[in-house]
Amino acid sequence: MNEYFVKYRAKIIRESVFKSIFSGAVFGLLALFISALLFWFFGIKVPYLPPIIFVVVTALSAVLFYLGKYKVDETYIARRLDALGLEERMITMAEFKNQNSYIAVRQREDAQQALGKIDEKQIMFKLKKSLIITLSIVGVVALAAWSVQILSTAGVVKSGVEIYEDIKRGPIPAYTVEYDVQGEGYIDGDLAQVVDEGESTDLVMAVPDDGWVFVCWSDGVKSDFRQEFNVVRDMEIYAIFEEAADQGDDFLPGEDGLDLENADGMPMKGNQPGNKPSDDPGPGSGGQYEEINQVYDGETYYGGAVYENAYEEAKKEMESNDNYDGDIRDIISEYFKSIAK
Amino acid sequence: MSEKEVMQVVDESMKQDIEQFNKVCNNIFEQVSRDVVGMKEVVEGTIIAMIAGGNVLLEGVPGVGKTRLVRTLGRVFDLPFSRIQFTPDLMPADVTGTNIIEKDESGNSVFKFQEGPIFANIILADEINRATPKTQSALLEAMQEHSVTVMGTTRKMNEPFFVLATQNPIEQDGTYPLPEAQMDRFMFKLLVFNPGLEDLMSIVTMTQKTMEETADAACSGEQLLKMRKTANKIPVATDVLRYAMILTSATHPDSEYAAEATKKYVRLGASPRAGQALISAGKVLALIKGRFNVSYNDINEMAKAVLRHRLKLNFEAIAEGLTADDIVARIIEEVESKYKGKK
Repeated sequence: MNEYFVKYRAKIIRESVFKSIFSGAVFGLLALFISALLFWFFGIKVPYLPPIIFVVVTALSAVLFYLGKYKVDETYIARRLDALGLEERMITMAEFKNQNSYIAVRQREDAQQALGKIDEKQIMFKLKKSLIITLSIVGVVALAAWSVQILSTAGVVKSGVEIYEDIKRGPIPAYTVEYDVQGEGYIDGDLAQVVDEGESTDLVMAVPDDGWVFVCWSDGVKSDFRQEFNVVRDMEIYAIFEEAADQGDDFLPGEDGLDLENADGMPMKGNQPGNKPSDDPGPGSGGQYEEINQVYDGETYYGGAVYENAYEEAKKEMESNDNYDGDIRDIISEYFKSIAK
Repeated sequence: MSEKEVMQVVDESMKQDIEQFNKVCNNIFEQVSRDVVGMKEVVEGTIIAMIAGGNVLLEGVPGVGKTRLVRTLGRVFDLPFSRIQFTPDLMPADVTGTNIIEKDESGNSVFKFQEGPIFANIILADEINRATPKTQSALLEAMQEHSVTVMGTTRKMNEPFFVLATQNPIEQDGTYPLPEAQMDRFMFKLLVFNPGLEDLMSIVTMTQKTMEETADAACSGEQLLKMRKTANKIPVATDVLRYAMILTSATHPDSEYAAEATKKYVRLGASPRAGQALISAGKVLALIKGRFNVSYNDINEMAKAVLRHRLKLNFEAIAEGLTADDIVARIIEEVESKYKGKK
């Protein structure tokens, strides 16, 4: 190395390293963008992988840039110094350093004299405007792609494949599910709900006014809570309330007692014989009708002799056992009501 | 003498040559300025070309001082000077000379070659585009080979030999545009513009006193040849040489280095002579500036003079009103941004 260049070498090497890193970062960000895009598209949930790829590609590219473009040797230093206005004195001096003709010697003297006027501080690290712009644009795009991948991993946005499937499927129709009442009561919840095909509505509950009871929904479902699943058409459902007849007391021995049997020996509450829900409840009706029991949304609701026998036994137990206090009796009573068909 | 002593003698001689170069150069500029007002770039360009050994074509409207400049240079360089006024009826023999019959001592008729006006060191070829192509071509061999062939006999010109031609860009009627082959033999084409107000006032003031040319000789032919040799020794870094050659290649539309402006506006680019001219002129310019190496700026400064007459523009350039100088400027800008200071 030319002795006159040694003074500037360290600073120029630092400059070269920074330039290599920034140049490598462009490729690193491109790799980040591509990997984030691919992972998002295929729904691969590894949000930590793109930044790792960014770091690896940046490091490799920086090394290649340094070795290929910014490697600091005598010629590089000479060019860098000439860029400060030395009119190619340095590069000529470096190239003809082994010549001893008079002109070559005079050229070296002239170059060294000019170099003496250059301060190390004049070598300022500057990034090209084009590199800054490229880095900014690629950086913003890459970070945006990575953000989308993270959001997709968290389930906030759909993956590319899902979007593609949606596009292939076409626009999803929406349906309206409306709730109303027949009798005195109200529906607790959203009365008119618009849902996409195949989606579910929010839960609603039929609440009777004082002196009224909830009988069933218009499609025969007994549970006062209801939710439609897999909605595939517009629906109008109303809750049926009736004036409370003598429904019978809760499990309180010594009082009027719970007269839950009708003339046929069947409990008055709940479904009455001859009052079966529709034979064809249809999709979205929320359940299936069975003569004795009723299965709704995976839960079984009881009726018939089995239920009645169990109910009688519970009632007898309540009457004969003083250990069942009022709260316990209320809970048991509520339980039987809730599983009644 | 030992090798070291020989080297010392050579070095001492070179040192004197360089000192002499600067001294003579300053003297030349000083003497020329006594008779020629303004035209700094034209004067500098002409002197650089003469030191580098090239011919110059001066183009300008009548009365701007083209002929006066050339005559002044003839005086300053103290070299035999010859003026050839080109007219449409000028014959090649009027330029080169011809054989005439003479009686020798014994009274026999013999052929004797009568040298034409071209046998001088500095030739002023005035209004060169007014002569026929046949007469123009008589200059071709002289300009390139520095020799003339008449009736099978080749005769060498005395060195240094220059052709400084002038042409008028306005009067195109009855003119014969110089062919590319001849244009290529001019190292520089320099444009002589109308003087500014200050220069005009100086010209009139000077010529009101006297129309006499007062410049003295500042350089002999031998000195000029020495200066040429000295300038030739100035080293050119590979980066700079490469840059000059890329600049030349960039004028060719089908070259890999072709500039965008070239692809759009140029039909035919510059020959390798342009590359040689750039380097030769660059060396002289560097030494005039007191530097011992050629720089990118030296090449760029000489580029317009070297390239403007070597580019053949296409119809699109003419239709858009672009000149060769405009195209050359764009080419320089593009080549500089892509290749200057890079591997």
